[in-house]
Amino acid sequence: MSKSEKKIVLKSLDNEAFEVEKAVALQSQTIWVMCEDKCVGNEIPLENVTGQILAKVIDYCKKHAVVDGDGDESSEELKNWDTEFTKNMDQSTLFNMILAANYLNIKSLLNLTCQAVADKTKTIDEFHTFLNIENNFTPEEEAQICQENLWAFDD
Amino acid sequence: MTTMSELPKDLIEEILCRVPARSLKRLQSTCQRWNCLVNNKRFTTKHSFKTRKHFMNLMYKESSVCLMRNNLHKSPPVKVKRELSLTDPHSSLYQIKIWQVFHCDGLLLCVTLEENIRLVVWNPCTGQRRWINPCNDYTSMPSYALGSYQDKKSNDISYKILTCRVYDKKQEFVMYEITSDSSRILDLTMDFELDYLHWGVSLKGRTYWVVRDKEEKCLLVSFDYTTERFERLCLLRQFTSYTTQCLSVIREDKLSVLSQCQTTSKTEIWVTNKITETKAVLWTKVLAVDLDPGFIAWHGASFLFDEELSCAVMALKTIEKSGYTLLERTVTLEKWILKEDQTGHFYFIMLQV
Repeated sequence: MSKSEKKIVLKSLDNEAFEVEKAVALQSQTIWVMCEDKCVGNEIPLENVTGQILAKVIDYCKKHAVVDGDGDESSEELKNWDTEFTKNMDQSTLFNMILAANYLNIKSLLNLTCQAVADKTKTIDEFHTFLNIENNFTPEEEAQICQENLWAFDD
Repeated sequence: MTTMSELPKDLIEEILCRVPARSLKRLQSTCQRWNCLVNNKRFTTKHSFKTRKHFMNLMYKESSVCLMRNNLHKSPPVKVKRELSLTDPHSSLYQIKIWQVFHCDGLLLCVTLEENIRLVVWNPCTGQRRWINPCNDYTSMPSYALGSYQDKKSNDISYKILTCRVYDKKQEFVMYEITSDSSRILDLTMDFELDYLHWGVSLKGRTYWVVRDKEEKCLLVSFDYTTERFERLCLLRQFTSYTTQCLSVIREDKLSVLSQCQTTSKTEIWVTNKITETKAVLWTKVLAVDLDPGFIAWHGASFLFDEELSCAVMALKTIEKSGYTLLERTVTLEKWILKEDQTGHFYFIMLQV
């Protein structure tokens, strides 16, 4: 394989181009299918992902392309890296990462980002804010459900 | 600014199925949409599979199940948080006595002894329960275990109940599949006996028991619900042939065993390495103590060992000096340091009424 075939260019929604190793990009099932079908050249347009998010996705894929398949110690290191990776992302970025991971079909990244949102959402109020939901139970219904689930409510 | 409500429904589900059960239950009471989702079978299966487990520490006490709360920053670090009660399907006022409980992946298999033996698989988190009338054709009390296996094609997790009963003086194993509501006899001949006193524990879908072979040696065996075969794992330390062994699971990845000499109440706690399919099971002794001979454990007694909290909680029997009546009690916590091990990390807390 010549050097140019090993590289691939990913183009974001806002026309930012990223040149990456093929092995890195192929962690995305979507890109893998596109390459298999040979329906695209060396440049792949990704119409649902902005450059800012794509850069982060590529960071993730680069890290995971190197370390995957090694022994226990590096998987521990990878786990720590994953934690750091999502730690400082705000909610909006995390949601965009979830959308990107879903569109690009990168299972492990989807897992990681969904877990990060689940971990960061601690209170009911937070969920209400995110989801814009209102309590539509009658007080009686609410009391009954609370009664059935008492174990979840006390400390 | 992207918010959660802009995500498609399946992605919201992906997030919610990773939210711990407790938070989800709280959420359930706030909106009908969540209530429907949380009670949806497909979602609950996915949830039990994906969420990080809250380690449910359960102990059994006087016919009921107690949910224990372990918290390092509280005193006492372990306490009975709540008793889970099982109500009659026909009358919610009538509480059913639970004779034995088996815990697997957040599901409880309860054996109830009313007129007949009846089994119920109960998810205390969703309230779902499934009553099963087992075949009552036995000459001794059967032993039951609940385990899971994953279908390789569909990735679905299914549950099975293994019954070990003595029929016509022969040990017989019956497998009941919950999904298809069907039973069949397994073709297994074992050189050890599983009696109803030796309740197993569940770890990663398999069931583990301490059993005695024909030479009276104690061994650890496991049962795999995919291959439907037993596996002999290792021998256990015995004081004499009169040794009580109680098995317990630590944080879903290790086993721990409490061994007590029935004549002297000399008690030891051993802990395994992380249990995996490939590695051999290795035991490390974490504690040895001479218990007051008045306090005895019994086969299958409830026992918890928490490495982080450095404490053990046991259900013990106390022998009253007059008349040798056995009083079965789960004792509430009174910090009583009996002995520390050499490192000083592990001490023994005994629960006392």
